[in-house]
Amino acid sequence: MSRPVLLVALIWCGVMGLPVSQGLAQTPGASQAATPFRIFAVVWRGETEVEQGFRDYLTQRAIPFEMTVRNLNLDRGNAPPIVEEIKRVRPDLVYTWGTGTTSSIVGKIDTDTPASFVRDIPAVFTLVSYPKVANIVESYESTGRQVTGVAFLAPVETQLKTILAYRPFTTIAVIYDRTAGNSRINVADLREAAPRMGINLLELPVPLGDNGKSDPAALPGLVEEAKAAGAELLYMGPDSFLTRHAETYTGAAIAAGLPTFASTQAPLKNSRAMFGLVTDYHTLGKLTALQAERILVERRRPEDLPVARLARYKLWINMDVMRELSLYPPMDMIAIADFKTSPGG
Amino acid sequence: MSSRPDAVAPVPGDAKGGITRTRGILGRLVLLAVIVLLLGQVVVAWFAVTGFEKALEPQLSQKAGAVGRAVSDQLAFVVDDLGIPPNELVGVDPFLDKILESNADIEYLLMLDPSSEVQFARGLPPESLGRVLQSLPGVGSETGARSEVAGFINSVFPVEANGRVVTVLHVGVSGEYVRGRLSELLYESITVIVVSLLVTLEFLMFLVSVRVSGPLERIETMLTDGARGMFGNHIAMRARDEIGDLVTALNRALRGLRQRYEDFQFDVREIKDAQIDKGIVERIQTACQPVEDRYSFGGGAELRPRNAMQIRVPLFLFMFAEELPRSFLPLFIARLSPTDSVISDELLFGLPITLFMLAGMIVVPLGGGLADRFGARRVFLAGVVPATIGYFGTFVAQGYYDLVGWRILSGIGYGLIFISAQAWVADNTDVRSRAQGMTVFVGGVFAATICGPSIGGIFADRIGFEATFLISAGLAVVSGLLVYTMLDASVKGRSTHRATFGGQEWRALLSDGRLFAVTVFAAIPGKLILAGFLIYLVPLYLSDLGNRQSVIGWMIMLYGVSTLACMPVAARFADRTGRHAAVVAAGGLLAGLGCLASLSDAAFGGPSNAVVIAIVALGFGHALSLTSQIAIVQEVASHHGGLGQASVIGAYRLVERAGMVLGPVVAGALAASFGYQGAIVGIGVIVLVCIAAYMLMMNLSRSTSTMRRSEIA
Repeated sequence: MSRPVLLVALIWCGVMGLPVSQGLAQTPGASQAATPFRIFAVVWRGETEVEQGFRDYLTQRAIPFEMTVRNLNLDRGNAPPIVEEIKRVRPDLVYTWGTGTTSSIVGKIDTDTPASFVRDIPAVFTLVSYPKVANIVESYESTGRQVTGVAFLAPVETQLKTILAYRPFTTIAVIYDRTAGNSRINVADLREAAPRMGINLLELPVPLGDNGKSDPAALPGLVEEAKAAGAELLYMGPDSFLTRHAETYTGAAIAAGLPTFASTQAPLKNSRAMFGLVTDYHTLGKLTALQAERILVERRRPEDLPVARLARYKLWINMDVMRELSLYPPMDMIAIADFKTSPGG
Repeated sequence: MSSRPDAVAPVPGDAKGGITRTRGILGRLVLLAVIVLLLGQVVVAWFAVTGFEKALEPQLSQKAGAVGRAVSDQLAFVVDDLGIPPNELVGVDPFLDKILESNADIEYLLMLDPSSEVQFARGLPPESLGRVLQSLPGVGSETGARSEVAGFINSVFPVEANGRVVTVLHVGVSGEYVRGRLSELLYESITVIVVSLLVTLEFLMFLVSVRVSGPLERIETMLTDGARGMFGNHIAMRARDEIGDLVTALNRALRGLRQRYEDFQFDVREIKDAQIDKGIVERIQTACQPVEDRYSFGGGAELRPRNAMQIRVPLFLFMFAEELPRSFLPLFIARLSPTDSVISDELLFGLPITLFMLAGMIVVPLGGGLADRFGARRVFLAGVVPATIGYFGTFVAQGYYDLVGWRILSGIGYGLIFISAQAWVADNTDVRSRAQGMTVFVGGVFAATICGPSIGGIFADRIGFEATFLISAGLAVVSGLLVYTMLDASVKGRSTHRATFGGQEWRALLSDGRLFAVTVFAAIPGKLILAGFLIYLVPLYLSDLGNRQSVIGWMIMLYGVSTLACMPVAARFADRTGRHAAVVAAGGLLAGLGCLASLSDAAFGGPSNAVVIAIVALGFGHALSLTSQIAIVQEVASHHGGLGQASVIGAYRLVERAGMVLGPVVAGALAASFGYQGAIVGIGVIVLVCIAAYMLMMNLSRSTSTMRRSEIA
């Protein structure tokens, strides 16, 4: 292969997010079986870019597939009939989106009622923040069951390093939903990592309302409280509650003159968090599809496939918020960041 | 081993001999060759240097332009698209530093606001920043505009936000960088010119003396003998060139003459035998007698052209191979040295050099004996084998310990070749022309001392350390092939090369104050400074100071140049005045004091310059002392009845080599405690102390010997 052609091929593979060695080594498609693989996808709140990336990868690789999609619609109660359907249809692969969906379709590893979950069909999960802590896998290296997937959060340490690279903040507040497992795990991680990096962490759980759930009305008060306690930055973890009320929350933060760092994509897209280290959903979908390919095409057992992790995360900066707070990123960061504007702005 | 001006110094010859006779032809040839070569090379070098200067500067400016545009584009994105005011930018200094770091030729990056106040400035110390700021062009400059600013080439890049200039980026390229590259190129050009001149001279001298003047000298002998009526000579020479044809024709003419004489004698015998009258027989005899009285047709000699010169080119090539790694050998050793050793790094770096010297020192006397038995040619060839294997092994060396082994092999080869070349010269000269012959030997070694390190340094820069050893291996093989094809295999040893000294000589060495002083306090320190300073410390220290290999090689070359330049003058001076002892002292003092130059680098314009001064002083010092040392040894030997001069010189040589072995060890030990600079000074001090002891002993022994003589009287 001549040099320019090789270069173009490499760039193409890079753009497409393909592992280069595979992209060059084999010509996909032609020899695949004519019968398409049947994939049964269950999502939490409708289809996202993750599913798009998943489909795009399989199409690019010319892997024939049929995909059935079911939506839990933010409610685990909708799971049992879908489990029944999967057991009846017996697809080649089950795909689950998010921690809630995954644990209600394939169940936890040590569940007392294995019969109420899909246990004997290969499954891949995606967008699960803490698959090990949530008891979905035994470990990242060896899942211990017919399930594998991709981890999507940047490690807490990487997140904190990014925050410190922006400014040497010394006091960070985390406001979180104490009823959600993910949030509690996330805060525990922060509690462990922050002192090591010379950061003083303020923990502010959202008070519960009469219904026993976290009360969104308390958010502006909590932001004020954090500010008064000396916080210089608000940290937003993988917290569904905060993500739902992100507009109110980040608005209150800006009013208090505080920047918000987000560890997931949604608050950056839909609210006014200032910056964050996020996984690109489309790329995440492709990585999930790579796991699916290994199971379907290469016939590898899911229990032999380690949970995959993205090597790179994206730094998003909301330039409107940055200007509003007059808190500009250092030159080195500007070169690598993606600059966004506020929704509707 | 660097130079070994063994035996005798290259004194310009006045004795009649094959080599000086070449002066006529060789002199003119050399002059012509030098003029033509110099003219050609200087013109080419001049074009290269000026062309380089012309090409480099725009290239640098272009690079400044490319970097300036890239940085100003980034700044434009930040201040215009993102709307960050320049004075609120964070992390600009590390950002600019990173750009400076990855572009060594860019000296500074400045950001000035529209009123020419400094926003950010990197790459310049405060005092030069002030000078640059004074002469920077104004805000109105166009993008990419270049100007000369306080010795820098400055390019301007205004950055706009909302159509208004908010910051101006200035990119500075140093003229210094261009000049630095230029002087390097100049050094290399000079090196190449000097080396190619020397190599041309080597081959010219070789060709002229082997093919032209040697045979001509024999033809002359033949014709002179012929003029005296002696027609019995024959010239042994097989060469298919003009002179070869002439020799063949002469040989044929003489053979014809002899044949005719034989025919004539046959006829005379026939006629005599046919006579019965004894009186007639006697008359015929009387008539023929004058022919036999006046002419001789038999009993002539087999004339061989003098062969001493034949060894020169092979010897030169081999010594050249050995000198190639001179500028980086200790660095190469350092690279392979283990890091977890119990002995200090500095000693480790010197050990392979010491063992090389030791192997050579042990092999030299053995090689002399071998040359007696098998002839010099075979011993030379036998030396090429371990030497070549050693170089090749060094090329592929995996670690420190196998490197030591390879160096020892090379040392054995070096010792064999060294002694066999000397033996060849001795075999092919008579007592009268021995001294002349030895200049052949010394000249070859010195030419290599000049050519090897400098070219080796250029190789090292271009193709790396290892590959340079591969070139050494190739040169050693070529040298062996030349010996194999060109040297006369029929030449048998005529003299004894075995070191024949015994107890008597050692006793003389220990008991005679003058002999002891000159050997222990002048000769040993002389070799010690050579091995410890020039071979071991100079490459390490100069490299530490950031010099490129080609520059280091160039500086080491100065030793050979200064020795060669000074030696004839020094020898003539010493011979005329007869003050050999004083000249040795002066040489030692000069060499020792040169090393002290490192004490005050600043006075000489930097530490590298101080080293250069020490190298040149060492060259002059050695030129002064080496010839006179031999003269003293010879003189002392002649005073002791029953001692052969050669035997005493042999003992003196062997002891002297201990200095080469000790040099790297002493230098390494000093460097471990005082650093390289301290070690250079330390070696200088050692040499000075030894010379003081030498002078003291020389004075004492002179007074005692005068006393003894007066007692006898």
